[in-house]
Amino acid sequence: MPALSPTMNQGNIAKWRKQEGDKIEVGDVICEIETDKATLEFESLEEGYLAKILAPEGSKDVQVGQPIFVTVEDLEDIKSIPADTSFGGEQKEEQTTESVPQADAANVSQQSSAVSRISPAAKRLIKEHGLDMSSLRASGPRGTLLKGDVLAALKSGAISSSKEKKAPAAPSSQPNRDSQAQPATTSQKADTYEDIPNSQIRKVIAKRLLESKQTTPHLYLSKDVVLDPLLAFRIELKEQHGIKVSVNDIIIKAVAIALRNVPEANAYWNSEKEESQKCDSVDISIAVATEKGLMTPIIRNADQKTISAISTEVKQLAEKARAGKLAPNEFQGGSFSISNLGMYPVDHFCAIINPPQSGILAVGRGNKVVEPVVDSDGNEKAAAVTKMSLTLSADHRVFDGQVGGKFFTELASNFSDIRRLLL
Amino acid sequence: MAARSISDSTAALTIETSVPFTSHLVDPPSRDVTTTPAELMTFFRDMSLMRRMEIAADSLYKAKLIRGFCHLYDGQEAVAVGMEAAITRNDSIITAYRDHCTYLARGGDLISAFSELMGREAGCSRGKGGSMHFYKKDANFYGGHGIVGAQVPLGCGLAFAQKYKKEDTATFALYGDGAANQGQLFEALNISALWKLPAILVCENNHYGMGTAEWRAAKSPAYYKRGDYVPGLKVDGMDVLAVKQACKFAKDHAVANGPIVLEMDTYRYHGHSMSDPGSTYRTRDEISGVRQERDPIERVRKLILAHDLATPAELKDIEKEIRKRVDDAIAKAKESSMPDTSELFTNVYKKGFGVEVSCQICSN
Repeated sequence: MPALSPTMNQGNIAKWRKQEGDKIEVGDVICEIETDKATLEFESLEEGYLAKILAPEGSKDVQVGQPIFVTVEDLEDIKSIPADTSFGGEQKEEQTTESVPQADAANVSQQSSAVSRISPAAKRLIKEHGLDMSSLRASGPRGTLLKGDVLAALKSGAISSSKEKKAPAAPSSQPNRDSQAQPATTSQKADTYEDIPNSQIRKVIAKRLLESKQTTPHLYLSKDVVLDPLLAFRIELKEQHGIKVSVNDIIIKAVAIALRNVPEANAYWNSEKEESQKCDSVDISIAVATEKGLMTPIIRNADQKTISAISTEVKQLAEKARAGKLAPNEFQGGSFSISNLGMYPVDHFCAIINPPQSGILAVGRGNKVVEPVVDSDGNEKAAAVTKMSLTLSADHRVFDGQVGGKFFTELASNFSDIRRLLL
Repeated sequence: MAARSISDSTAALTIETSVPFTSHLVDPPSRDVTTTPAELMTFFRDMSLMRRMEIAADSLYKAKLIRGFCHLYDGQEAVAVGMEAAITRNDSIITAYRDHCTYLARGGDLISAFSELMGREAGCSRGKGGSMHFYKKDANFYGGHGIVGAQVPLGCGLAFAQKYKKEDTATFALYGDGAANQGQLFEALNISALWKLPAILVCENNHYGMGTAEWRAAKSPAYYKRGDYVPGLKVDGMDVLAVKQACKFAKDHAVANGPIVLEMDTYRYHGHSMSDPGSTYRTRDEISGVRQERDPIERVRKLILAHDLATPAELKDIEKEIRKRVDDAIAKAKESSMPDTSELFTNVYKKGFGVEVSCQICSN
């Protein structure tokens, strides 16, 4: 396979213009190769005869450097080529392991001598049922394996299929929520893969996420807040008062106070009454990653608790969550959620609301940026500040622009002047 | 075995060029070219070697052993070989970036050519120039230039030096039909004509700039006439004997009377460079048509067979031997290493006047 462009690493054989036994003149097009950019014609610079085609039409992801056909100088030499010169099944397997594991279309090996290519629908069926390729018969044009063939084979029940249900991979289109959820490790070696059965918790989470995303009209508001006052406050607490709290604890308090001051934001949508119902207390759910899945223990009355009390409670609840010992009342309910991915290099993300709540705040990582800052003399100077992205995903039925604006005003001023947390 | 071996006689042979010369402001030379069997065999060997080298470079590029730019000369071999046959190593040649075969013609060897293409130390420019910057000063080959048309004023400068030193030699400054419209050519030509410098401007007209056909690029595609007040000659660039005749004529003219423009009507089989398939602006039929009717190597092969200087089998053997030579050279070139990191700082300043890296610092 030639590198027809400097960035090409692999190509697909789109069409063979010459067949085995044909004479090739200098300048003749032998085949059409599909590269990463376009389909190009591969010209021959030698003359000879095409003895054997090693990569049949439709071969995909042939690495640059692999032999795709054999030419000979004399017509008679064609007969002396061994008939089982093949593309190399081992190389095919290497290619499939290199292919992106998350790709839903499995790189099913095309080594089966009965089929030369497989239709996408058939590929999916084979993957789903874990079928044995060699026992399938192709009936499509040019030896293509069609969906009908696979279905017929399944019906006749003559195929051995692996009975395990394939675990759905963690929703790869949602980089936000299940941050800690391990991607289902489906390593694909041609026709062998490991099924990791999904725990009940994950199944429920998956169902709820989909339900939430589909049924709740999400509204997104975001702001990059200057984190320096908060960080300074935290350091002061540590060094002068010996109190250790995390940035997240302070954020929880800031959000709780803002919710108390904007009670319309601390509500949920009552679908029977079709109106927004205010919650009695400010109960904040904290997203905690555990092995079994994402848990959300609740800090009740967060607006009334001190920051150190919040800090202690968060630690306790996280411990219980990881041990799987959360009581139902400790994770059911809540009026608002906070999800913090700041410990990862995630700058900004949008979380999915936890029904029946009406809002979730996604907290990103604090990054140092240079900004114009008005210093004490009233001059604008360039200063390095730490900024952190906050993104609120809200139920638009509860949060309209006004409510969202009010809430954000409160929240932002809580960050800019930490003393507001005393109010 | 054959009763006679391949002819290497030096008996004179007179052969007619394919077409007569067309001239501008000067009397054209005769269509009859004197050559010898030995010379024809040399032509065949040299052009076949060049052709094989370019094809091998194509494969190496597609195997990602040659990176960057690669502009191939196959189809145009007659220009390099014919020119070399008409001049001496004391005459200078300067050309643009389609220079691999010119380097070979000037005495370059295969190993240093392939090494340079692959960026290895054994290359003619120490692996630091690549395809576009071949050089051979001792053979008066001044490169290998990337900027379009930049080499022509340089070539006129070389001619100036030759006249200044009273050497009775000439400089051949080659450029393409795309570069023929560059302004600096006319400026350089003006001063060369005023000072009667022995500068020969050779337009290698392969009819396409990168992909622009000559009739779309130039209002007057008669490049041999573009010198206006400077005489010019149009030559069939696919006929090595015509090229030889024209270059001999041009050198004699330039040394005596000043600049002259040559237009070589030639053709390249590859695209402009390896990134260009070469088939989007011209048809495959056109390319294969030229290959069948005008290929320079085939023309010489026919001449050799017609004059019974060698048998077809012998010619095939020569081609096989050339193939092996090229393969061996590539293998040898692959063994050469990449340049040392200290080479980043060499050849930038005259020694002692710039940054240098001591050997202890640069560790590999």
